[in-house]
Amino acid sequence: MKLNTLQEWKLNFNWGMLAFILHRLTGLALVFYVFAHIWSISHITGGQGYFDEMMAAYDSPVGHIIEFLLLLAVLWHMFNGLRITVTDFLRFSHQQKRLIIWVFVLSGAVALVSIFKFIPALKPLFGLGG
Amino acid sequence: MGYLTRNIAATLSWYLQRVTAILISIGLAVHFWVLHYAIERPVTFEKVQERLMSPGWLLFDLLLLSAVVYHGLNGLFNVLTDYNPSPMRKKIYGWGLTLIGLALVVYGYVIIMPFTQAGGVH
Repeated sequence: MKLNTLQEWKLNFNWGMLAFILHRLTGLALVFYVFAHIWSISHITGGQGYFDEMMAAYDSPVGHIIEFLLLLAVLWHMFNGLRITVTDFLRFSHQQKRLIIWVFVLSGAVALVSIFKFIPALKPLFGLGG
Repeated sequence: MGYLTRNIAATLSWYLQRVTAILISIGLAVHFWVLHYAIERPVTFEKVQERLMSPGWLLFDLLLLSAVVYHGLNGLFNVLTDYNPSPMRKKIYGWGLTLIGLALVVYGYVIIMPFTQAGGVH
């Protein structure tokens, strides 16, 4: 029987595979971001006013959401990368799958405590003032 | 001999990927703190300049950039290697990414310099 990707995914699902895919997707997104980051800072070559204009563009609802998504990608990639590092360096290979849950817990926790700082527009929705 | 050198290079790349991961984890935490908590948004030339006038912060940014570019492009090389390229292609990927990485770091150093000088940039 020939299976499509989704059927195969369901049959063979395991957390290690999910971690691998998310690490790869966030990694590729972050490499793309590094180029974009250097490009936006390079606006300084057009003078400080041009640079300030570029930075001000990030201080908008869309900019805030992009930066929060960046934070999520960084956090997930970082905690999963640290999981891989301790697995390899400190012989955590027996615990490595259980550590995946901690990758989600820790990145979720840091994202949660940072969300109002990154997206201030959410504050009034929770009665926290503008 | 050829195999031995290739294995050393692959092991070094594996090792450095993890070492830079640890350094970037610390460095990026500081970077996010400095740019999202220590200053008021939006980021402006003057706020960045105030920090980068200190040689310590300049060195911090340059090292973080170098580590990130190495880690990112080495990671990209690992992704490409997973698609089982021919030895020739692998060589092209390796050298291509090395050149892109060096250019990116040099360009990053060049565009950070205006922030280290007293006075404005027009």
